[in-house]
This record gives sequence, structure tokens and C-alpha cells, in this order.
Amino acid sequence: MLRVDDVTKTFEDGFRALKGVSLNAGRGDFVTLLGPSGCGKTTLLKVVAGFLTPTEGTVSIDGADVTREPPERRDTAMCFQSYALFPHMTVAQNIEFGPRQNRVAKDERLARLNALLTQVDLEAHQHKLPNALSGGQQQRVALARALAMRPGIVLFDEPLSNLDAKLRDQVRIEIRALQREHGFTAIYVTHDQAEALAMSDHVLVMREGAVEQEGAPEEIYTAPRTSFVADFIGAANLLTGTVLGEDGQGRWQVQTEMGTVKVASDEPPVAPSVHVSWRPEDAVLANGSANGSGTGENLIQAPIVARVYQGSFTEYVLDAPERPAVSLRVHATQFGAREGETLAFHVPPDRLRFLEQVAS
Amino acid sequence: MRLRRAGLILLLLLPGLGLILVLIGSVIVMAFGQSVGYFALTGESGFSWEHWREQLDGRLLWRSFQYSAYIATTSSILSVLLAYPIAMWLRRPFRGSLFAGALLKAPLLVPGLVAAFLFINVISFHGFFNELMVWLGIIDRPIRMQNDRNGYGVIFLQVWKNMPFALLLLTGSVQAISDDVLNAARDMGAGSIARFRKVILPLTVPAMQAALVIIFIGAAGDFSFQAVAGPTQVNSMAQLMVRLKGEFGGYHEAGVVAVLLMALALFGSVALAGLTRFAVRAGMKV
Ligand SMILES: Nc1ncnc2c1ncn2[C@@H]1O[C@H](COP(=O)(O)OP(=O)(O)O)[C@@H](O)[C@H]1O
Ligand SMILES: [Mg+2]
Repeated sequence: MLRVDDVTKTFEDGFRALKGVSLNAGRGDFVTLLGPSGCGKTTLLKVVAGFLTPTEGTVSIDGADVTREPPERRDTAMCFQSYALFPHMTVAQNIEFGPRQNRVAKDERLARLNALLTQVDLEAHQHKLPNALSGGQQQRVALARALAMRPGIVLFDEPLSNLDAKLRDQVRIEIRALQREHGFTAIYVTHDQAEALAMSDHVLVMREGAVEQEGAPEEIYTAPRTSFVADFIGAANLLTGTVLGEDGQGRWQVQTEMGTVKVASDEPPVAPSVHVSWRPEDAVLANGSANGSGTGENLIQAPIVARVYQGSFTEYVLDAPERPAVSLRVHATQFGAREGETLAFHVPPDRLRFLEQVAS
Repeated sequence: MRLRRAGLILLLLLPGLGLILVLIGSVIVMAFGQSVGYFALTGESGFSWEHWREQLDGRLLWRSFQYSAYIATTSSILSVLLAYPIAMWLRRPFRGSLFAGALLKAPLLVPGLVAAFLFINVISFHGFFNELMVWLGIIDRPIRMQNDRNGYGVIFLQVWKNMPFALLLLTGSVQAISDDVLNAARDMGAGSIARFRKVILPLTVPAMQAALVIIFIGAAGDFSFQAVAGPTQVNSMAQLMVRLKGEFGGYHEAGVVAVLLMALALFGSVALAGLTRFAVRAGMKV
């Protein structure tokens, strides 16, 4: 459906915003571009839409190379972060703009308009101008306007970033529902990792103009390949490790800031000196942890520096046993321990992950 | 009590509103009063439609009226037509765009009369242009261009002087349209002409109307360009006023012309603004 091949974009001022990005999306897929502000997400979206021509690489839709085609000749519709509604046209005129431009017959045009007005719940507002609407309503007009063209691909540029938290959840659900109903391919840009995990079939984590890692949300979350991904998605404990040896069954002895631990991994570490991560919620508190005793694999005992009650869990901030300058975080559902006490917990070897090599 | 309140409000409004009313009102009252026989500087004052009848019957006034209306309409429309593409070109900054913009606005700083004299020097019978063309052998003898019958010289000067003003207004207005809005239109199949007609034009109507109206009023009341470069067989309204007063001491006759000139400015600009709105609406529908 959509194929982006090794796209590079260098702006006139010499800045390289995209450095060889590739992306594949099948019909009806929900693909998310996730990354911090300034990593090139919007630029990539604009390359797909045709507002920007890549310096190198190709974009093809349904097998046809559209790299040099103008936006008006691509089967894409963009939902802008700023909504970009036409301020001098009513809601209905905004939605009808695309079909009119593409000379859709009147009956069909009105049918689409009415169906969309119902779907986004704006019938009562169809004769209003955009600036008479709330942010959430404007967002829905933008959505309806894009869908009125029956595009094969809809490009969303941080569509929820201007909405308050409650509205965000509602519009998020609405977007997914519309996507299922219309069957379009969605390329969705966000810098919010929770949004990306909740909505997507496939996530591309971007960093400084390149794709750092891609995969299903669960894969990205449970098996990050770099510290950047581990840290950007969810909370992570990041350590530097020195590999001491292997036991022959995929278990490595690794010396880290929290002591020497066993790491169970299908893939060997990329270097003798690698970053290692684990999720705070993967820690298992040892019996009688409050007084610092316990047994088992990868038993860690560390002093509690801070304790933050979060409702469904409690976060403990600990000093790493071998190097107190490094902090560890543990999320636990038991919350008996206090600051100053020692917390004893296990990190199951299969929950520890090898990341990239430590830069020397 | 209510009366006192009303009086207080009136008193508070007086310094602002009063000044405006005095400034505008006095001019209108004076001109109209003079046209119907009052404020006579010589002879006796007294009400009379005599001057109106006399002027409206003469052909001189109507020719001036038509001529001024023609110059004002043509100049304002041409200035705006010329300013639009330039404003679009200057919409996004590029290397040298600041300089180009400044250069284009330079005529705003040159007094009209100076420009008119310069222009005459260039196009007169033994002016720079004719001499050059003869010297180059393109023409055998000089062409008569000065004070042309159709007022093209005046229109040229008006556009030269006023286009930068239209540009100033339109550039601001065009720049206020976000890239996203234009990109959205593009994304939905609007080519450059459709984008201009359906998005840029409607969103810049207020600026365009302001430019048209202000240029129209200025050009309708023109004296200096007409006096220097205008046709000799017809007077502009302002020129006619000066002539009636100067040659015949006709203050009352000049008053009639003044009232008609104000009417031209008012109705002309209302008509122009209305027509613009109508045309843009129609353009969006096509
Ligand atoms: N027209 C441009 N010229 C130069 N640099 C640009 C231009 N547009 C964007 N950039 C730069 O490219 C980088 C990526 O921008 P963008 O794709 O908007 O990031 P994101 O959407 O991920 O926040 C930013 O550093 C930005 O400053
Ligand atoms: Mg962006």
C-alpha cells in the first residue's frame, strides 16, 4: 500500500531532517511514528503527503512511484496539527471542499457530507464557522474533511496534542473507530508513547531523522534494542554491563552497577561492554524485603532513597548497591517499606535485556 | 435623573466624538452651504439652487465627473491587480526578499509632484525616451506622448504611486494565511488557481477592499498628477474646483463640484467594495 524507501531530506539550509528512513504499511494498517520533538516526524509525513520532495529515496503508493507527484494527485489526506480549517467556510463547506474539488457528483457529495456529520456528531454545527467551535469539534471537522475525500491513506500529525486529557481519550477512540469503519491506512505521528502503544499495529521509534527501532507495540515495549527506545517508551532502569561469561544455555553473567546478575537472552550481547535495561514493574519483591533478607536469582538489596505513592503501585527510588550515584526504580504493589530501609527484590533473568554497546 | 445621566454620557463622549463630528461635519456643511449660496465671500449670502442648476446643466461638470470616476476606478483596480502577484511572490521570505520589498515600496516616499515632473521629463516631446529612441534609430521623429487624451499618463502615475500601498496591505494579509491552510487545500486537490480563488482571495478581501477604497478616493480627488500630466481638454473634479474659483471667483460653483466630488468618493468606494465582495463570492462558487 504505502512504501517509503530510504528517504533522505536535506533542507535548503543544509539541515538533514531525514537520514534514510524506510517504512511499509499495508492496507488498513495503523502505523505510528513516535519520537521526541524535532526528530523529523512531520517532515516524513510531509514527504508522504507530497508537500516536500525527498532529497533521495522514493515514496510509492499501491505500487506506483509518487515521489515527484504533487499532493493533489496522491491518494493521501492529511490531518494537520493546527487543524488548518478554512476559516471563511462553514463546517459543511469545509467538509465538502475536497469532493467539490474532485468533481464528485452532487448526490454522492451530500451523502458523504451527511454520513460524516453524523459520524463525528456535528450535524447541529454544520452551518457554523470554525472559530465558533471548540478545539475538539474543530479536530473532528478536520477529520471529517480528510475522510470526505475517501483517501486510501490518512496522515495524522499529532492530532490530539491541542486537546485536554479527557477529550484526548475520546477523540483517540473515535479515530480508531473511524479507521475500522472506513478501512483507510493510518500513518499517525505522536510524541506520546502511551498514545502510540494504545493505538498502533506497528510503531516506528524515530530519533534524529532515523528509525531507531520498529515493531509491534508489545515488542517495542518488552524488547527495546537501545537505551533510547527503552528510556523513551515507558520507564526503564538503564545500566552499563560488562559481560563476564556464558553458561552455554543463553544465560550470561554480567557485572553491573547493581551487582553481578544473570541475563537470559536469545541473542548474545553485541559487545563485551553493553547497556542493560529492565522495567521497574518487573522487579519481584523478596519475602521479608523490608528488613533486607531473601534468596533467589538476581537478588538485589538496595537502600530506599524515596518512596512515591502512585495509587495502583508505589515507586521506590533506590541507590544501586555497587554505585550509589546510579538510581534504580522499582514499582511494587506492596508498600510497606520506608525511606532509609533496604529493599530486597529479584529481577528475573529473562526480564533483563541487552541493549547497544557502551560507547568508549 | 435619567436626563442627567444622558447628559453626562453625552458630555463624556463630546471630546472624542465631538471633534470627529466638527472636523468632518464642518467640511461637509461648508461645502454644501456654499453650493446653495451661503458663506459668500463677495456679494450677498442667501439660499438659492441657482448654482446647482447652472452647473448641472453645463457639460463641463459632467465630463469632469466622468473623467475623475474613470481615473479613480482604473487606477485603484490596476494597482490592486498588480499588487496581488507581487504580494504572493513576497509571501515566503527568500534571499533578497526584504530588499525587493523595500525597493517596491520606495515610491511611497517620493512626493507625487516630484514623480510627475520626472515622468514628464522622460516622456515629453524632447524628453529622454524620445531622444533615445530617435538616437537608436527605432523611430524617425519624436512621438507625442505627454498629456495624452485618455489620461494614461495620469493612470500610470497613480498606479506607480499607489501600487506600493496596495502591496503593503495585501502582503500583510497574504502572509497571515498559514502554510498549513494552503497545504490543506492542495492536499484536497486544489491547484494554484483554485487555491488563489477559493482560499487566498476570500481571506484577503478586507485588505483588498481597503486598498481599493483608499486609492479610489485619493485618485478621484487628484489635482497634481492631472495638472502636470493629464489631458488638456478635460479637467479632473479637483482641477475644475480650482478653475471655477480662480478664473471666475465662483465659490458657490466650486462648492457644487466639491459636494459632487465627495459623493463620488462615497458612492464610488461603496460600489467598489460591494462589487469586490460579490466578485469574490462568485469566484469561489465556480
Ligand atoms: N523548512 C525547514 N528548513 C530547515 N529546517 C527545518 C525545516 N522544517 C523543519 N526543519 C527542522 O527539521 C527538524 C525536524 O522537524 P520536524 O519534522 O517538524 O520534527 P517533528 O515533527 O518530529 O517535531 C527540526 O529540527 C526542524 O527544525
Ligand atoms: Mg511535528
